[in-house]
Amino acid sequence: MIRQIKILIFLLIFTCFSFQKLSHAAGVTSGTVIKNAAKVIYSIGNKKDQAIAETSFVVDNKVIVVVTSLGNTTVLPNDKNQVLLFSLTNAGNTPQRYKLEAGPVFSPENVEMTNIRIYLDKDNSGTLTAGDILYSDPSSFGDIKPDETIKLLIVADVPQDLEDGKTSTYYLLATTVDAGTTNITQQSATNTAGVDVVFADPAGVNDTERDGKHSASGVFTVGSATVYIKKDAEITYDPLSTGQIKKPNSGAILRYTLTVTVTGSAVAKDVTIKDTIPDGSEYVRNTLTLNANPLTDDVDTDGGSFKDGAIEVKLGDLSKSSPKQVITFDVKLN
Amino acid sequence: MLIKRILSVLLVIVFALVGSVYAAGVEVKSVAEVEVKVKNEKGEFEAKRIEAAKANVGPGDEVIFSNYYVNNGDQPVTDVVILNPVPMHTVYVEKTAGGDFTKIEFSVDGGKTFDVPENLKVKDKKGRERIAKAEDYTHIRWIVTKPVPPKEGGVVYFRAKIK
Repeated sequence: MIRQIKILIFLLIFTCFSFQKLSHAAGVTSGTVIKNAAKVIYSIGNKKDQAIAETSFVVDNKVIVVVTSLGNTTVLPNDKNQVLLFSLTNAGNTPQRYKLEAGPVFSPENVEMTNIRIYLDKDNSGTLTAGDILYSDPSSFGDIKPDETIKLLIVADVPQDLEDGKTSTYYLLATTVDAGTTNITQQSATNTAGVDVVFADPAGVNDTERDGKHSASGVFTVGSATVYIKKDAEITYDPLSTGQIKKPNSGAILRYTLTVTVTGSAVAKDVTIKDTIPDGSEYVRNTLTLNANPLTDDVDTDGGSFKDGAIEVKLGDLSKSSPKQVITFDVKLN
Repeated sequence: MLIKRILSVLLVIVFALVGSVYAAGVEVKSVAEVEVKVKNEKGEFEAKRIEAAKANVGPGDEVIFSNYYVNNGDQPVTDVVILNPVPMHTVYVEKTAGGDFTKIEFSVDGGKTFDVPENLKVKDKKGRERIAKAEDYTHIRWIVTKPVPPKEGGVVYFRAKIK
C-alpha cells in the first residue's frame, strides 16, 4: 500500500536587511544662502585701515532618491498578498514626493505574479498589516523630508500551478515629484542665481543616473516541498504456518514500514506522520520505532505515541537533504 | 544757530568719509566658484571654474573661495592680513588654503586665536585633547609677508565643502 500525501508547508520568510550606507546625508536644505565674508587689515605708514568683501550664492535642490531592495521572498503557489520589502530614501536636500511603479523584470525564466500593488509599510513590520497604506498616486504618502527613509512593499498574489524553483523578479521605480503636488520634478534648464533643480541620483536596475528616478528589484521564488510516504507491510508471524510462506491469517503479525522522504526546494515544517490502525487488526504494544530506535507508546518527549487507535510520530522540519525517515510498527490481525 | 551747528557737524562727517575713501589703499573682492568638467574642442574633459551663483551647487559640492586684493593707493601698504571665517554650512577642505607670500594660520575658537595646523588642538566629547581636523577650523588667516607696492596685489584662496 503506497500513499502519497502532499502537505502544504508554511514557509518562514527570511528577509535579509541590508542597510546601504549612503555616500552623504541630505545636507544643507535647498534655498540656504552661503555667504563668504573676507576682511583685509593693513597699514599705510602708521595708519591702520581695513577693507571688507562679501560674496554669496544659494544652495540648489540636489535631487537624490535611493530605492533599495531589503530582501527576496519565497512563496507557495496560490498564496495571496506576498510581499517584497524595499526602502526609499530622500537623500536630497529638499522635501519631495515620489511617483511609484512596480513591474516585472522581463526574462524568459521569469514567471509573473498577479494583483500587483504597492503599500507604505507604515508600521515598519516588513509585512502587510492592516495599517499599511495602499499607493494610488504621489500624494498617497505625502512629502518625504530630506534624509527620511520609508519602507515600501510590493504586494502580489501567486498564481496556481507554478513549478518549484520558478522565480519572479519585480522592480520598484520611484520618480521624484515636487512637494505638495503630483507634478514630476523637472531639472532646471539653466543655472540661475536662485534655487535650481539638479538631478544627482545614481542609476538603478530600471533607470539611468541623474534622471530624478531610482529603482531596485526583488525576487519572488516559488518554493514548495512535497512529502512522500511509502508504506510497506510484511507478515513476520503466521500462527498457521510452519514454513517460509506466511499468510495474513487470524493471529498473524504484520510489520508496517513507513518511509518518509521530501522533494522540492522548501523546508517542510513540523512534519507529523499519523497512521490509523485498520479495522480487523490491533497495534502490538511497544513496537513503534523511528530509524531503528524504539519509541514509547506514551505521549511524551520522544515524539512517538499510540493514542485513539492511531500511531503518531513527530519528525520535525524536513528538507530534501534530510535522511529518509523510517517508522516501523507491528499489528496483530484479529 | 542750531541749523548752523548741524551743518558744520554734517560737513565734518562728509569730509571724514571722503578722507577715508581717499586714504583707502586696499580694495578686496571675494569670489565663490565651483569647478565643472567641460569638453574642450579636442573632446577632452577639462576643469573649468564657474561662479557658484550661476552653477549647480548642492550638499557635498566643493566651492573655491578666492579673495583678490589690490593696493589702489599711491603708497605701499604693510602688515596686510586677510581674515576669512569658514562660511556657515560649509567645512574647510584640508590643505586647500593658499596664496603667494603668505603665512597661513587657522582658528578653532571662533577667531580668538590662530596657529598653524600642527599646533591646533581641540577637545573631544570626553574632554581629551586631540589635533584639530579641517572640519574643526572656524577661521582662516593669511599674513602677507611682504609690503604690497601701489597697483599691485594678490589672491588668497581656500576650498570648502557644502554640508
